[in-house]
Amino acid sequence: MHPAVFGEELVTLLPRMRRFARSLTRDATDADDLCQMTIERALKSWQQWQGGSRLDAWVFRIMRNIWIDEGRARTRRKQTFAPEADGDAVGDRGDAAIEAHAERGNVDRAMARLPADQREAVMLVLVEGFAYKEAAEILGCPMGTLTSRLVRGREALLRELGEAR
Amino acid sequence: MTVTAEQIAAFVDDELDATARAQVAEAALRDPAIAARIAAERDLRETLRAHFAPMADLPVPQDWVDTIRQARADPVVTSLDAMRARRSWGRGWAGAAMAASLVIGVGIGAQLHRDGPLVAGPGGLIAAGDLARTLDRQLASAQDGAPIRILGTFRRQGGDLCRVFAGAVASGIACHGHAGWQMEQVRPGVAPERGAYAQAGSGEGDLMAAAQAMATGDPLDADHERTAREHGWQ
Repeated sequence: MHPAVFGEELVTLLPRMRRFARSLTRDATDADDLCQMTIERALKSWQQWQGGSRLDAWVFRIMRNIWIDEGRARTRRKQTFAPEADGDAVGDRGDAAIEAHAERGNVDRAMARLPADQREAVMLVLVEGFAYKEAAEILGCPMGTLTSRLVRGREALLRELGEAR
Repeated sequence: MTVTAEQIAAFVDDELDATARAQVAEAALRDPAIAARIAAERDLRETLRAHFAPMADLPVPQDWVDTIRQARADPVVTSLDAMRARRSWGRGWAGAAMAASLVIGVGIGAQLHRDGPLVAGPGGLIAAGDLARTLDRQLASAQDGAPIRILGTFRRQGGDLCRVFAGAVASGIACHGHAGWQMEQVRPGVAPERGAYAQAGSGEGDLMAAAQAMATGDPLDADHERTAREHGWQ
């Protein structure tokens, strides 16, 4: 693959990279730092990418490894990763909007309460749409580990969101 | 339940083979609790997707895009677009990458200047002398023994005609604009002592790949190329 083509494919991945970074870091600033580091690393080692495999899986794996290396301890701020603007002007909205807003907050809260390993499994499979095999490769764990994290994460989310409804 | 939570999850995620799928579906028909669990899992997935979807539509910092587009050039390539962009940037976190590209740019510039196929134009480097004449006149279909070879002609987005060339001093991609043939990609040429350009090797492959990435549609065939020349490459 030509570097120009690789570059353009990487550009199209950026929004999803940022979304995954936010789910890992749960902090918008840390997420952007993580994205920048991932971009640098991907540009440096793009020739190691096997053209046949999914570029998104490769990049997500790089990102996740950087995050592990950096140490999760860096972020213990427990911030929700909802955009800040979400908290604005709830009072001005109609009932439906308030409900939708409450729903957004519920999902963010429920996700934030999950242990990190369950949250990444849920993000990769349910939100990003990776197959189990791909998700397990990104996380560097056996399939069985992935599926059990996924099941526990789902059960917790169903409990939390079921009650909130 | 006759099926496990893992099986239900895998059913919803479409990770089961046909046999296992049928077993879960059958269990769901017999047991309303299983059917309800499947529905709840599906709802959960839809809720999460809908919740996170808008985040994938948010614009990302332009710095990131610029960094990627600049770095994509391999070490002997310089993109004039990138150079122009760099000038208007000011300071970004991509400073190191910028400095590296500038060094490359200066090196190639000096080399080119000596032989004079390029001059500095208002928006970058413009073909001059033999190179300009070759780009203006030579057809890819008729160039036996020519010192500069045209590897192809194509249209890029926006409609400009561009030509890929390979010569002793420089190879590259030039696009026709009001100031003449403006260089979009410049690389060191194929040294004459290396002999026939026809065997110039991997550098040309790279150039063609870059051209392909820039092009809309196929390269011009011989007839279209001739017509384009008659119309002054407009």
